[in-house]
Amino acid sequence: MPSGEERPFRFALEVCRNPAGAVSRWKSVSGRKAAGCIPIYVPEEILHAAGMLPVTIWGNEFSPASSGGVPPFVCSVAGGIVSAIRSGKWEEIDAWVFPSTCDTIQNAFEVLFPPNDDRPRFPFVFPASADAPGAPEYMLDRVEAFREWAGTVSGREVSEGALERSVRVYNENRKVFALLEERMAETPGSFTGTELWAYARAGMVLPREGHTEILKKALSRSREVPGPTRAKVFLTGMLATGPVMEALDAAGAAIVGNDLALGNRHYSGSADESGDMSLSLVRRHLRRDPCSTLHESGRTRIERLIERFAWSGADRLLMLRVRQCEPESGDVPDMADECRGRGIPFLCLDIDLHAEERASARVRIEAFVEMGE
Amino acid sequence: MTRPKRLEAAAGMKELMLRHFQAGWLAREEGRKVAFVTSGAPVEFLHAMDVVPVYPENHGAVCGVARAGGRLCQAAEERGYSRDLCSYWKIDWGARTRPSESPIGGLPNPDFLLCANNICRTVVKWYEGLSRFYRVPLLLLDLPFRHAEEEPAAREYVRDQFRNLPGELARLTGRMWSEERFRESVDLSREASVLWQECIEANSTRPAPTTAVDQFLLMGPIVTMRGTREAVEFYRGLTHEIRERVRRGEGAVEGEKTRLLWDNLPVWHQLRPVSDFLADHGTALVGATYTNAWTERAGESPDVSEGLADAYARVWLNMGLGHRCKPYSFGQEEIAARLKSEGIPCILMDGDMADERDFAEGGWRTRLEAFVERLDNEHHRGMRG
Repeated sequence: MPSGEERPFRFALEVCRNPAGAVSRWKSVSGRKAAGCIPIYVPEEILHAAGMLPVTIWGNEFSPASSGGVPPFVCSVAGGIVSAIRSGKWEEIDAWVFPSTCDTIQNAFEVLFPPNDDRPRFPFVFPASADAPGAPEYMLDRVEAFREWAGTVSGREVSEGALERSVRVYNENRKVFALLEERMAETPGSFTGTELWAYARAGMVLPREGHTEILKKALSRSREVPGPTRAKVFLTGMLATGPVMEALDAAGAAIVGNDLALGNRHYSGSADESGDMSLSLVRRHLRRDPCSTLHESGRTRIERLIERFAWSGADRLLMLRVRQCEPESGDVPDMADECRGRGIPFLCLDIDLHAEERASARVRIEAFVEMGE
Repeated sequence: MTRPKRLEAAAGMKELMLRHFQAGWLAREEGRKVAFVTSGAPVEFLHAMDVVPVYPENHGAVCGVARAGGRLCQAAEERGYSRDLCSYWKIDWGARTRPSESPIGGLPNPDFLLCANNICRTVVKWYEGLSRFYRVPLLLLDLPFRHAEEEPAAREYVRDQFRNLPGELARLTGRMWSEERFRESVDLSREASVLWQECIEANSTRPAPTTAVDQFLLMGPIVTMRGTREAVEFYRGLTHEIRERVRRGEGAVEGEKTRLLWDNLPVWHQLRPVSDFLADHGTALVGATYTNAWTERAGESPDVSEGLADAYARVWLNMGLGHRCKPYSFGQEEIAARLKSEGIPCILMDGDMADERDFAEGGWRTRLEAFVERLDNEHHRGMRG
């Protein structure tokens, strides 16, 4: 039996190992619907306010079916999603939301559903430029349309009051997740990479209220102050996988910061709790840091990344690039240059969710951690 | 071997395109600004401000035709760009560091960048990188993806950005906005698009007066010189030549038996071999989904900018397939399955549009031979039936 202190982590890990099972249990207890959210940036508060469970699908929840019909140039995130839906997995999901994250996900929305799959689906197109003229008005229109759709699908209108309550729930969850990240920066090694991954991933499946409780329990533990770590790593990219985090842990590296889409990008930034709630969600989105999928004139993703890197106290930067992910790949050479210029050890590690080269990744991570020791 | 009949206009186009590339190099001496532009951007705004537009994507295609793409992509990969990235993007990077490998000696330095993401979202990251490299401003036009019905809010969002563009261009060029020149450019653009559409649609006659390969090669001016008198004059001449062929009942492929449609970007480095092989078997490539993208034009609207916004908004529908062009290619298997289910023969071939390293010539030839043989058999059965 795990000790009391280990229980939150074990529970989160179990959710990560079997997200579909967790969704199924929630549905049978609540009698409500679950909405599958394709990464990234779906305003989940709206689904929550409609009484649905937002579930982010990362494409590695099931082994890809051989008959998935996924072309080789599609990244493993989108490939896994397409393969799972086409092979009849994710029957726990009652409706789908596809944001305009990248070309591949936009196309997936158009082509992946079998003709007999009549589950409701919504393409959430968000502005790619945070400061383009008309971006707030356009996004407000999309948020309102999404709000109406969610109400229709769930059979529960998304009232202003309900949305305000959901915004508070999400803000509380983000606040607690930020505390976890702060703890990791202030006391390197206080949480392992695997713990960070498990807590971040579980929160994309569990109801936010429950996830907040788990995080609070994890933060309340009285763990011994860890000894010196071999390396303080900042992670960037779309996502880390369980094996990559295990390799980092095994090599003695402490994660002190990240801007992962399956991590900080998902949990950072609060929405205003007063005023018009749709507008509040628009503002939260447009205030995000520039990233692989959001442009902002005058501020670049690399500049912001370096600022956050410095704040975290990290001593090296690890870029986790999902193979075939064009938006994430384009910045890599300039990111490497910037790091070289500043004397920051940098490594770009390619990952494929369905063909993980664990031994090779382990060796590269060990060598990376040893750099400059 | 029977080859498709060449169009006389092709020779004129080479000269025209050379002049276009030279204009970029000469711009500074003439006191004009140079802007790098994506292929779906509303270039009419630039013409209004006497800015010389330069198209890195078009340069990628030119390098592809000259089979220089592989070496230039290799240069980009040595810099750290991954092999699975868009080859146009990599060629652009490669030519910046090894201009001598480009058939036109690379591209001139830009004064600013105009990027519209109606063709794909990859261009946003590409142009952000260009902005860092050249240390020049980037104007991004965010033209949202259209899934089904047009959303009025999306149209308004595009209009808002278009309304903002003249002021931005005035700031960047130090010139006064010229509505008159803008209107003139939009009119010229519309006229060239109408002529280009006629060239494409002429292939609905049998035998087809041109091939899709002709179209791929002759689309250069409509992509890069839209909004200019030169483009209108060129397509006027081309239309005349095609009309004459139609009048004489002259096909581009002798003894045309089978007619094929090409869906996706051209595989630039294999245009002639594929076209010649097909022509030798009496098969004509009569159309391509790609070339249609430049038939969109501004509506007749009192507000020119508004009419133009609608035209560029409609272009999104058409863009969407090459091996390295993910948005255009993801969905082709589904299209093929649909066509097969309706009894229309089709074949999926894999190859990069501009990087000749990602192309297996033997595999292509064997598959094409088998496909053409099948079409031949069906043609004969049809004749007997």
